[in-house]
Amino acid sequence: MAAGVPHAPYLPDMAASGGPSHRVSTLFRHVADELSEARPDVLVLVAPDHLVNFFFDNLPTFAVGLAARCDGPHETSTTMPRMQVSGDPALADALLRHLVAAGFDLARCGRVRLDHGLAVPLHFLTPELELPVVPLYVNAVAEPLPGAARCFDLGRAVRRFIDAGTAERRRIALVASGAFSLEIGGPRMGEADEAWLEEAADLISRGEHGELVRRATPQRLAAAGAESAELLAWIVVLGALDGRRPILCETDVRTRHSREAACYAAWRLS
Amino acid sequence: MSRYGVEEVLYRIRTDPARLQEFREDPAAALADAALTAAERAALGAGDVEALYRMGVHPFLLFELVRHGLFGLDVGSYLASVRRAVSAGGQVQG
Repeated sequence: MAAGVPHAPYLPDMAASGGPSHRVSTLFRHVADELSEARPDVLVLVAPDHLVNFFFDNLPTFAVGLAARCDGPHETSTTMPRMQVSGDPALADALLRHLVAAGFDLARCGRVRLDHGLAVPLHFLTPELELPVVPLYVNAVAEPLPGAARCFDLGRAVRRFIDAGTAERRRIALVASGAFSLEIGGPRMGEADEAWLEEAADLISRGEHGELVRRATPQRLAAAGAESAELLAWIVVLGALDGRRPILCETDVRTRHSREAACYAAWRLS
Repeated sequence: MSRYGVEEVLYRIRTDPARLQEFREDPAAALADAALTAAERAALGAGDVEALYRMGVHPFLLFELVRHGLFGLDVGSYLASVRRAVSAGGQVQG
């Protein structure tokens, strides 16, 4: 299966205080149900790092996490419970080798410190933290950003890796983590481009991924807010889907500190 | 240029509870060993968001000051400073 969710750091608190009928709880539960129904053996989580695992001393455009164990979130501002989760070094190494051989020069990341971009989806989608996680990092925080077409092609290469099958024949779930329109710390903080959210979600719901890639230019993403580049993580996952339509695609807009336009989606692959 | 130095301090505050605590208690002392220009040291030591934004500090990292309520900053006062900086010509790339 494949899915996409947002990862705003306040969502665990919001869902906890709002209870199971809160829309954030419901949306995450629908995606989590799809995930557990697919009975995956491992989760490849495509996410940006928010200057926690990486900093400007060494900031890869794309990277695979090969750590056997990791914990977090490591932000000093976090309010969510700290978690420990297993990696899958063998699968991560095989994925890295496959992608580099396919012409995508990803960095090898042997130490993984979770930030909220990974921890929030895990909190909701695998609350027992029983599923090994392989992070696939996409830079969405610092220019120069990868192009949408490159991210889409990377996703296609990930799909070829999945289809080729690993030695252990493990079932892989592919999950994107990111906002569609958001700005933190810049002058447009508090504004969200809801028209862009609806436009992008509509293309996703109709399986028109190529058209979304064409429209997600650096200028369009920047116009939707500095953190809107997180859509690139979603575009990696879309690249693996061969135009498949989602079983679930819902939009949601939240305001806390800033305003975020987000999407929740799930795809059944078999 | 040493904007990198400012961002490194903010990165430490973002990820290291001990560095956050040191900075909260005494910003000037916490910055003593940091590789900063005099202007950067003054701006960061006083939580001068307008000056730091003008210097080109990454906005997502600069917002770290608000995440911890340092210098009494909140979203409103922070954004007012950023918008003043934008009116004054925005970020200087260095």
